[in-house]
Amino acid sequence: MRYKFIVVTFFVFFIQIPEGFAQVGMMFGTNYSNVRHDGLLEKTQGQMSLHLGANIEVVPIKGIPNLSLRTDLILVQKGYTPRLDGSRYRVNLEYGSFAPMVKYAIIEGFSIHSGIEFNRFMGSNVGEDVTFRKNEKAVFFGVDLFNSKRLSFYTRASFGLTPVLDYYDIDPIEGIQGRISDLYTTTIMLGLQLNIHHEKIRF
Amino acid sequence: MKKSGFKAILLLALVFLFYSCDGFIPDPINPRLPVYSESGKNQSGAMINNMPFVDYPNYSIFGTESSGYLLNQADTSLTFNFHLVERNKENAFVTIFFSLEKLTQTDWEEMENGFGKKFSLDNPDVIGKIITYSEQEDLGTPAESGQITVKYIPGTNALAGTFGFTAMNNSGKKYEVRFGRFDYIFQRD
Repeated sequence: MRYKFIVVTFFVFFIQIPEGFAQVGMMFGTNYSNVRHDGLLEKTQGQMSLHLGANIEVVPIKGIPNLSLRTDLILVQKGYTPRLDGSRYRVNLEYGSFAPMVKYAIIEGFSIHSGIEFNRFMGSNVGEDVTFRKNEKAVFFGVDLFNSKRLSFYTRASFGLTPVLDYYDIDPIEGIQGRISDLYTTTIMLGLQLNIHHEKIRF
Repeated sequence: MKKSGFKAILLLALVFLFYSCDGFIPDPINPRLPVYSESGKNQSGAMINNMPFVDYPNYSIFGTESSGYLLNQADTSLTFNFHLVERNKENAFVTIFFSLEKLTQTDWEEMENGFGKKFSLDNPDVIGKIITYSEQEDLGTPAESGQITVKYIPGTNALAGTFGFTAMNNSGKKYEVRFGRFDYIFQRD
């Protein structure tokens, strides 16, 4: 319910802008992800995967053209790779991500951005549907290069604020002791954005 | 044209005939073992002397194959047989066996609550053993200490739970069965 409220609020905010400079873009790239945890896993290493998405960016205040609001809608695969007995076991976590953010152009062609990801769990190659939490929140910080060009470059680091795992605490001999919530994602994204310049959007 | 069409149909038929699907769903913490579930997935697994042993269904047109089974008689006894194969070593297998006797209606009610009912292997009505196979003989080694926890889920007709124990055979070989879990379709008599 809260998730829906945030999405609706954000879109209502956009609708309030009668006409303005807006930039629409397609984004794709690779990402490195791993998890932070409280000793739950033995050894893990990060893994490379892909993401794909679209975004819209508006300048809400005419007097501050360097400040913009942007929202990304991304399909992203996060995950981790436990290393057990010298073997690697890849754990993929697929999310649909809604990521509103504030972006500021420090100089032409160089911007910084920060926001919150609201990630909706879509599937995994391990566990059951009930093994992972349906929603994840993460904070992120990033940099954009050549944003005024048709093809721009971005990098972003996101840090999970809520645990993704909701599973059983299983003792080796005594069995289930309760439930555990753990595993916080850390993701570094690198990608290219195809910009559509100076789109005027009338809402 | 007709000939290539026939070949394609033949190929499809062969693919369909030999189609089989690995039903192994890994645990998110220890992906060598099947995930702990309570939905009658017909799977079990355990770390035995730190090696992963598993039983899980293989889906094919011939049906769903899973070698473990559960039996109950007159509501007062339960027998568990988990035929576990060492992962990636198809010729290394063991059977984990449990027998629960003198079950009462209270036991069944407790099996439906929370994470299930824990049966200690110190109880004389609870027997657990590991059966190993070799060319010479099949050797059953009784559990020394440990437990099996059983959860009955009437809604999905499933019996799930966890187990863990230690055992030592006559020649002094020690078995440590850890992180055991099972989830099988079960119809109560």
